[in-house]
Amino acid sequence: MTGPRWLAPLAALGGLLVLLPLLGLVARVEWTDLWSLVTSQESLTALGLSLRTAAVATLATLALGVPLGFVLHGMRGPVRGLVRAVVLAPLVLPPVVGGLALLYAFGRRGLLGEELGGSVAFTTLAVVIAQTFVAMPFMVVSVESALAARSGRHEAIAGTLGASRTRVLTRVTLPALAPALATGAVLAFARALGEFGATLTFAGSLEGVTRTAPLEIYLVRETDPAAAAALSLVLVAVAIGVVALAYRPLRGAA
Amino acid sequence: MTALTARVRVPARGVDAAVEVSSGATLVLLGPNGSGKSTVLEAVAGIVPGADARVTLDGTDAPRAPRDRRIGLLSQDDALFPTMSVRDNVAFGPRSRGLGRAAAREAADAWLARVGLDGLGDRRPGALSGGQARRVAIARALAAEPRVMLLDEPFAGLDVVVASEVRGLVAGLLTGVTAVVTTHDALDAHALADTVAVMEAGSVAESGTAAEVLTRPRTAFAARMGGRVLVEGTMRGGALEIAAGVRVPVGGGPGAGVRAGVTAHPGDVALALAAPVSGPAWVVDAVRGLEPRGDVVRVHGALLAADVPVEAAAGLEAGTPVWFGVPRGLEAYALTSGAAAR
Amino acid sequence: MRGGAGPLAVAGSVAALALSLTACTNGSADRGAASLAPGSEDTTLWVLAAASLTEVLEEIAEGFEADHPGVDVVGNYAGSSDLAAQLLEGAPADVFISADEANMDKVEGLVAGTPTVVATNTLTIVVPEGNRAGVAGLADLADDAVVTVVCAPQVPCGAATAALAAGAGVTLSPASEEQNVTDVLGKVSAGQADAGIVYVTDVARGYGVEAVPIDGAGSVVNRYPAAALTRAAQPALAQEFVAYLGGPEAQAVLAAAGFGAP
Repeated sequence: MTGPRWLAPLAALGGLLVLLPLLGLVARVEWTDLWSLVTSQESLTALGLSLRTAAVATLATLALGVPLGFVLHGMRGPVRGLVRAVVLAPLVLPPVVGGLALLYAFGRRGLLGEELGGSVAFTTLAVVIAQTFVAMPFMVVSVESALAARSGRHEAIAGTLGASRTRVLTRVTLPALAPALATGAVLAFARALGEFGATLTFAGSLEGVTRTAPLEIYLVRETDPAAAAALSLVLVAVAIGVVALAYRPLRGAA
Repeated sequence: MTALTARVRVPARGVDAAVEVSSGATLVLLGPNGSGKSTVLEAVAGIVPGADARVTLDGTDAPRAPRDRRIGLLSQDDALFPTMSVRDNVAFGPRSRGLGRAAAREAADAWLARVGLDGLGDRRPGALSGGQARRVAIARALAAEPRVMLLDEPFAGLDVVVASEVRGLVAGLLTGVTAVVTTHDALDAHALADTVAVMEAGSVAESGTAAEVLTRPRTAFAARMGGRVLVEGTMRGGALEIAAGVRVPVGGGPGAGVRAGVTAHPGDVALALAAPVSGPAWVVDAVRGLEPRGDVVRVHGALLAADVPVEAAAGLEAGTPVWFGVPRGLEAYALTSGAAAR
Repeated sequence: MRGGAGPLAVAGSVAALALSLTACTNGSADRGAASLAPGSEDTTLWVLAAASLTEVLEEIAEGFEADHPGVDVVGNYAGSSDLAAQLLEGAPADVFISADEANMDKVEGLVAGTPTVVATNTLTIVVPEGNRAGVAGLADLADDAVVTVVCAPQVPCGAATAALAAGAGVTLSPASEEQNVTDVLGKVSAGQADAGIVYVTDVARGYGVEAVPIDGAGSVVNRYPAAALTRAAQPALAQEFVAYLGGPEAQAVLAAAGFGAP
């Protein structure tokens, strides 16, 4: 189905809207210095921190988002809609709002109190919390929709074969969810890697501790636009790669 | 070996049925699609949400959780685990019951050999033919050592050659195993059943030993499911009177005035288009429907049915007046009113 | 010095700030409508100014407009480096006021005449109300137990902070190096940090914060240069506005907000 012809010019406009900024970014990159800019100590530190925190955040979304997806799937009626809306809120929340919300929960004057909040403030853990907060909805959505597509037949049969609920989960359900988990993990990783607003508001910005690649870009853009463009290009490449990776298995299964 | 009783109520699906199987015997639940057979099996296995199923095993209430019931279910869709090898599928039950990995694999391979799939253990379920997948599902269910085995349409969806092979396999494997088998095919009932329960619209219409239900059905529905026709009437002077003045001579039977019937295979019933004068006992009727069955057409009337060659059925349509010829001298038997629960 | 005293003074300035914000919102809406209206006889003067000048400049603009009937001063406020970048990308404007000389230097080629310093600013320590960490001076911020937040050395306020610390012989161990003064202030307001270093004029913008003066803060002075731009649509008016900024009325407003004299 290709639709009527008048869709084409609008589609072209839409494509341009996405493509032009990317081209603009590429045009600003000083290719001769690209390597040295990307491999400068500050860039490498920021990129390394980003990759590490995003990886940990992705593991956290697996550990927490998957159970959330299951619980959400098990709910019925209006409660389910309400809980889903709350769980998915970080997906649509302005990043600064997310940061403030985290601050009011995990900050030194937050709900968790001085002791716990004080130990989180300005640490790498705060970065991971912020990233997990914004990335988890991808995992929850992924798991919930994958569960909704299952009939529960295999699980029922596994039960008649004597399997405990845990065994059914680990041996039957989770392996079947593997593609959805992979998609969710890749998207969560990408989202965590790109996290900026909540980190800035909640975690701070210190080289090697809380200054992830997006924060580094935001900072060096003041003094070194070339370095900012170079590092941006790296993130764009990672983002495109990650999204391509995430949607490939879906297309393959369809 | 274990005796099973079950009373199943699933109001949402209009099912209310009771079944009973003695230890080591096979009950065939015979009924058309949508009569609730699968629901009864799944409720007995404990996997129908919202079902009210009272199940006893050897007179003791079965545990609530399916995993503790030890009632195996072979489902129509096989439901093999696609992410596991064939061997791991079959080993799943033994592993779940606490057997070690090596011992479970050994047991799985032994079961695969018993169902004729030696050497296919490393395959993925997706790489199996329909018949192979069914055999794996059977092996997987039996490898879990169930006390009772439930088989839902075990031969449906297989081509005739494969179906008869699997039927032979199942008949052998179920020897001495308490089992319930659902089918809409009279052949399966004849091949496997010790007892038969005919299901219609969610409840058991008629039940009894295979011989009783299949050869002496008491309702037209049970007769049809068993692949026969039932001629109902009242005994009058050594004949079965099916309508005022229409009598079929029978051999033996209950005394005068008793509701009785004879059954015949539609292939043994003759069909005539003009009023015949000799041969079997002729009953006038009209065509209700034509059912193609391979090289014959089963002509259904209001009272009887007959199988005729395809070319002989060419001129028939609904409403065409016909005469059915019932063989003389069939043995009549009493139709006890209580069982005719239609 | 505004906001430098106790909580009462801070509360007072917050209220004043709220009022001036309301005024400025209404004002710009009116001006926007006027400048969009066809046949409007108003002359519009476009001023790009450092974000820290937002409140004072609105007040100064009102005075300037009162002296120049028919003139409408429209302020566009952002970080100085952002504004410099916008100018270099060709943004139209009549006047540019930077929060530091470095960013004014960046747009040197666009400046008509020589930039004039119209205000100065110095640094101060800011702590959450009550000063629970007991911060008394710059030396206390070297203590790891005091969670300190400063501007990153890459941005002007951070460069000034580094210079001041170096001059005082103090090695700061910040928990975070923020993008700008607002983020530093935010972390202190939220109580995440025990102390931060900001400009004197920023204290009034913080909620629930108080200032702890730094001895020798005057050794590092941040200068606010203003300049008319070569591409100004109103070159004469632009020069006049820059001159007005150095005049007694504007200087009084700046001083009231805590800015130092040029």
